[in-house]
Amino acid sequence: MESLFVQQVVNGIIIGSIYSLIAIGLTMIFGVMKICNFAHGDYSMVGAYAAVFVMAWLPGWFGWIGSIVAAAAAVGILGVITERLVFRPLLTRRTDIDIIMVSIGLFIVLENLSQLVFGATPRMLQDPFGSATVNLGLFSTSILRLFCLAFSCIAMGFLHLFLNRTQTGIAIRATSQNRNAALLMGIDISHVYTLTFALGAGIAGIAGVLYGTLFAVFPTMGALPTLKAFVVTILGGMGNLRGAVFGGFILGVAETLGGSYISMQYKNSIGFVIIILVLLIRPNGLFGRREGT
Amino acid sequence: MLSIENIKVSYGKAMAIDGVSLKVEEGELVTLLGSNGAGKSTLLKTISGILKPHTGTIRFDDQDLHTMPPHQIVRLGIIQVPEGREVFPELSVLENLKMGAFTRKDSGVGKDLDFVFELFPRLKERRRQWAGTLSGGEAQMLAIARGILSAPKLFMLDEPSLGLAPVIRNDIFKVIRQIHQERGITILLVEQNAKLALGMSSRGYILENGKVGLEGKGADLINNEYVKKAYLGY
Ligand SMILES: Nc1ncnc2c1ncn2[C@@H]1O[C@H](COP(=O)(O)OP(=O)(O)OP(=O)(O)O)[C@@H](O)[C@H]1O
Ligand SMILES: [Mg+2]
Repeated sequence: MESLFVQQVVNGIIIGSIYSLIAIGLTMIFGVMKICNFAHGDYSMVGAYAAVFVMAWLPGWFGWIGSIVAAAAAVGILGVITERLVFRPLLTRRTDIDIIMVSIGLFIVLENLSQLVFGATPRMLQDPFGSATVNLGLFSTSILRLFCLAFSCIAMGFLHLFLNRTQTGIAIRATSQNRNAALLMGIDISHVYTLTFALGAGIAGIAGVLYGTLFAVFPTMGALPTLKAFVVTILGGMGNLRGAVFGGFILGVAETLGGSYISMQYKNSIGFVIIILVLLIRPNGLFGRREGT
Repeated sequence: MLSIENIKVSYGKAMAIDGVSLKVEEGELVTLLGSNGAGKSTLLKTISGILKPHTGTIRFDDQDLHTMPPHQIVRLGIIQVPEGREVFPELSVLENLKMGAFTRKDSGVGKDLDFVFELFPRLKERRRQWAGTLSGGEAQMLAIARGILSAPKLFMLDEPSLGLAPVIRNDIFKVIRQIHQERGITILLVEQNAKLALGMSSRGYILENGKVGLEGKGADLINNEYVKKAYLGY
């Protein structure tokens, strides 16, 4: 019983790290541009397909690392294209509901395009470790899963350094906190928007490779991560990056524990139960900003 | 240096600036007075490029500002400390100051940082603290310090003494006079505190309902009967 608990917590942390990764981009884009992008999980789907192609050319280790780099780059570019073509034109004369509708449209287009191009058959990404597992006493897990966790943490670490240590990164945070003041600092807001989308989508692309490695790659695979990223974002407070990181881990652990102790069938609804509870008790999210800031 | 010719600015259908002309010469300290809602903040936002006039021109040396985006206007050295401080609440004091120097590539940033820490020692003590946790007076000091780090040629301050205790207010005015006199920075000051502001100004404008009601030398305005009644309270 005890080792089942530890096992499930570890599984939750691993899947949670991927939720965090997806949610960080979503919350960052919301913070800077006030866009709720319901196509965000589809950036992960495209990243996973990028991995399918890279791994077909490059087997093993190199393929895995190469896919992550390729997914980040390809999906980062896709993010910039969607920002310029789809969201930018709405920003001046927008209402929030227009933006949500358009993002749902984008989600439908991306899913159907990928169905058209790649077909509906799920594809598996190879495991460069040949399904090897490690047993650490209280729990055992595949080396692949440990690498997924490591890569999520590395990606989050780099993002953290970028946002806190570089002038451009601080400018992104400044813009999300006070757009008008950012203009008065001479920050080119349009440049910040583009960069935010490139980063947010690129990270979702990396998450897509990890998610696809653990599950499978298929055209509609982005829908569930989108919903979960919204759960995490609301948990952590809209626009709050630290909240998104913790929220992802909390959701991952809650899901796996709920799945094994309550019911596997209700696993995916646990997040929504948590959301309702959190919103009743703390409407700004667990790590939400105080009113008025 | 700055020359505004007959600009009109509106929010939707509501006219906020209705034909204003104004000049600031290099080295001057010019005060802009006016009651609440007169259009003072609107005017500064228009100079900074955040709002665009639908008629009229704004020139800075030989550049047309009214067609330029805000981030380029900042690069010309036109720096605004906005009404209500507008610091970045979840950046540290030091990060806020770094954002002030965002457009600068020169090597003087470190020196300017020392200079503002000398002006406002309290900011130095609190440099690792989130700006959102500063008191109102400290936040105003930070907003001014952040503006100084932008290396202004024309420094525009929108009601810097608003809501401050008299002691802090006097400190703020002292600093404004100091950067004007010692650093030779041209200043356009928006103030409700007419006496203090006009007292140190070379010239002043009085804005009423989106139009210039009166303009003149600082000393002349202080002694003007109408100004005395409406803005000095005697
Ligand atoms: N964002 C806005 N939308 C619509 N109307 C606005 C907006 N901002 C200001 N106004 C209106 O424009 C007019 C001028 O406002 P402005 O803020 O420039 O006045 P002000 O002189 O700075 O006043 P105060 O001394 O109170 O700061 C006011 O009538 C105000 O209601
Ligand atoms: Mg004002």
